[in-house]
Amino acid sequence: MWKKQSKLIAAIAIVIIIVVGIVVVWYVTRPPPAPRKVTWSVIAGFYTDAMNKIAKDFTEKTGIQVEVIGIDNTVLYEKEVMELAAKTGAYDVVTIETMWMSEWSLAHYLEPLDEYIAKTPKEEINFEDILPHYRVLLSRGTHTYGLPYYTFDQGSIFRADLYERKDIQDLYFNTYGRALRKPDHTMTWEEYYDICKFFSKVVPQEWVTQPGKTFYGLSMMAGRFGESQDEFMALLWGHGMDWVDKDYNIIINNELGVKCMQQYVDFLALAAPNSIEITYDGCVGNLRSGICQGFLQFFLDQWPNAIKTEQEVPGAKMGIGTPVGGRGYTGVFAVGMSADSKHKADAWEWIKYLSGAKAQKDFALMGGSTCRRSVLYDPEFYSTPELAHKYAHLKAIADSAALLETLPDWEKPPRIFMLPQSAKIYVGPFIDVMSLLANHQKTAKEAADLMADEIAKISGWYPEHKPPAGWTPGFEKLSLPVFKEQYLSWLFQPLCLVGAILPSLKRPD
Amino acid sequence: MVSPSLIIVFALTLYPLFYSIYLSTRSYDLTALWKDAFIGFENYSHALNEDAYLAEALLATFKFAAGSLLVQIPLGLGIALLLNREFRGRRLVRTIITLPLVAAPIAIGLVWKYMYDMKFGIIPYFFQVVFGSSPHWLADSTMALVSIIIYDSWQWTPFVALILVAGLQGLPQEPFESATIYGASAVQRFRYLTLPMIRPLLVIVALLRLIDLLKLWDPVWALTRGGPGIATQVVSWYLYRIGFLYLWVGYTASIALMFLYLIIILSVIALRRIARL
Repeated sequence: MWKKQSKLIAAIAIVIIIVVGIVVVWYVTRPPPAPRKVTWSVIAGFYTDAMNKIAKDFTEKTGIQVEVIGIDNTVLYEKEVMELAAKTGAYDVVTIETMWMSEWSLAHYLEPLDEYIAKTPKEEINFEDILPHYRVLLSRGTHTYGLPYYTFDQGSIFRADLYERKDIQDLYFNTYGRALRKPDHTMTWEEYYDICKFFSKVVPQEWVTQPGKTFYGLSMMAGRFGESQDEFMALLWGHGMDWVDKDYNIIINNELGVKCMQQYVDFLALAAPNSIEITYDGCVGNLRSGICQGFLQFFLDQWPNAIKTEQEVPGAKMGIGTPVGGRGYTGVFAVGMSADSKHKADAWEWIKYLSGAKAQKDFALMGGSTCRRSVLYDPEFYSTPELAHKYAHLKAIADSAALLETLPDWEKPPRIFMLPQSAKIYVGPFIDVMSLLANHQKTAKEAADLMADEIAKISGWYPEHKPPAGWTPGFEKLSLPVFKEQYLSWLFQPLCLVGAILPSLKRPD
Repeated sequence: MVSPSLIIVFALTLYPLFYSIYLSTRSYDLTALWKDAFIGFENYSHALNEDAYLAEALLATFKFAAGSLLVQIPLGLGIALLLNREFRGRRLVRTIITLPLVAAPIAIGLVWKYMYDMKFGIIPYFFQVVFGSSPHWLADSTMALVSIIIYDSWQWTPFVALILVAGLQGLPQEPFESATIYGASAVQRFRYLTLPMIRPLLVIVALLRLIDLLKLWDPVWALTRGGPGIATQVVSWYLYRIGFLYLWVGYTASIALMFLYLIIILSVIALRRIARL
């Protein structure tokens, strides 16, 4: 009996020793705890080095790693929206274009940041330091869904040396009976059209470009990319026009809308021929090749690329200013938090850091375009003429923003941003219609009508071209009539399936 | 033994097909605020009756397919006839012409985009030198489709040629020898012997290419993105846009299924032809 018990005890002891041994070995050899990490989806190639540097600084400060997932600009929207819609939480922090904000916030893809902002010490986030129109653009209702880290507001970028030449000034005066002025917000589109025409058709080629090259009044982003509509918006907003009126009736096909479309085509006729197939990088390429004086309107963040013209084209001196007509495209890339992020606290830390004053100043020093007043007006950027020229885009952004603030409240932000399906409109029919217009496959009137129809269809307002009674931007829950029950879908399927696979099942003769 | 295969077939083929059919009957929009609902044939009806973009896309697809076949089949036959002859370096030539087939379409498409570039592309440069001017290959709405046809023909004509070479080498020699003895010219031998004998193979190659051409996507992405305007917006590109940008899941499924039916019909015809060989 005793012997039997001893054996049992020995067996138990051996089992315990083995288990303890396994636990000890596991404990000693276990992998180190996973580091805190957030994933951030961002446009590939847009100041990637600067972003990686800022992310590294952030990691050193907080211990939180940032996995920067670079995605090509042309597919950023679809990649992000797929992950957000599928609720994967693959990206803790997402890059948001202003036009996507309504759709994503209403679909609850984004976590409201209000609580996080409220819990953060005021001096740490300094929310009021962010330019006000960006704060408006990134909020819906009472909620803030993103903080800006990169602006691509539009303004005028041009070959200042050409405007300062006496012979060119005289020729312009003799041709148009007025002085040649550099483009800025005081200039009308009609005057700017004359200037572009002057450089395309009147100025002798040998005055402005090298032998073998043809010089043009402007380059445009009329290729089938996501920037053609931004370019058109400068023209539209510069005329004080919008896609929808203050009651959100679609008015893009009214008289002024059609005029803007026609002006776009008229400008395109003066532009470098490859304008029809390029976007912003191609435009900068044309400028740096010395074949154009400027653009219709251009993203101010491209200034660091544009001033390289001064090294590459003999005698070139670049100029930058506020947008013709007083209002260009007001665009911003913001960082928002995925509603399905599993690392929300860490994601907030990164959002806060990246959009904060220190990171924004670092970013600006590396050539980026910031959204914070304290950085835009920082004297360090303007302490010498050389620095002021190098960072002239910061002043242009500040000046353009100051202009915006003089507009009546209801015009900030433009109402197109508030349409519930603005993202879809922006990445879809806007590009289609602008491309059709640019390629003369539609007249200005046809393009405007088509655009109005497309906005109405996507918004669920077709054919009325206006929202249902009582609709309020940003808060509504649209509903279409549900005229059949779901089970009918399942009853319908076998019929379709038979139709689909029967031909393939039939044995060949 | 069969079960794993059945599970894989079900998971990868039948389930997606069933689910697509289900989606095609619904107003499912990934980001819409309205409720997803059963709408019966509404998506199909809209696609067939009201979608002008789809009609344009179908037209562009058939233009592209017809244009490509008109280039690839005769050119492939010509190359096949050349390769069917004995000459020094024939094996090397056969190897070289297969190279476009192994190239990744998007990567090579981007190379062609640069070749078509009006500022530094070799093709406009060549036209400038020889003819004094060059069309805007990718920016002109009439030339863009032609540019894609040229690119696709460069890549896929070797495929046509290789299949036809195999067919030509399998032809019996006796009729050709008899025809030569009776004084038939090379053209007559081709017209009355070669062509009728390889006609079934020509039809199969044309059908295989047609099925592939209808699904064209990569060159459009690399070269034109459906533009200029909607000149090169073929059906698969249109599907991509409404599916992944507009996120109209239900509507996209309905068009994709209709397109699938079309390709199934063509496939059945091709299979029957192959079975008759």
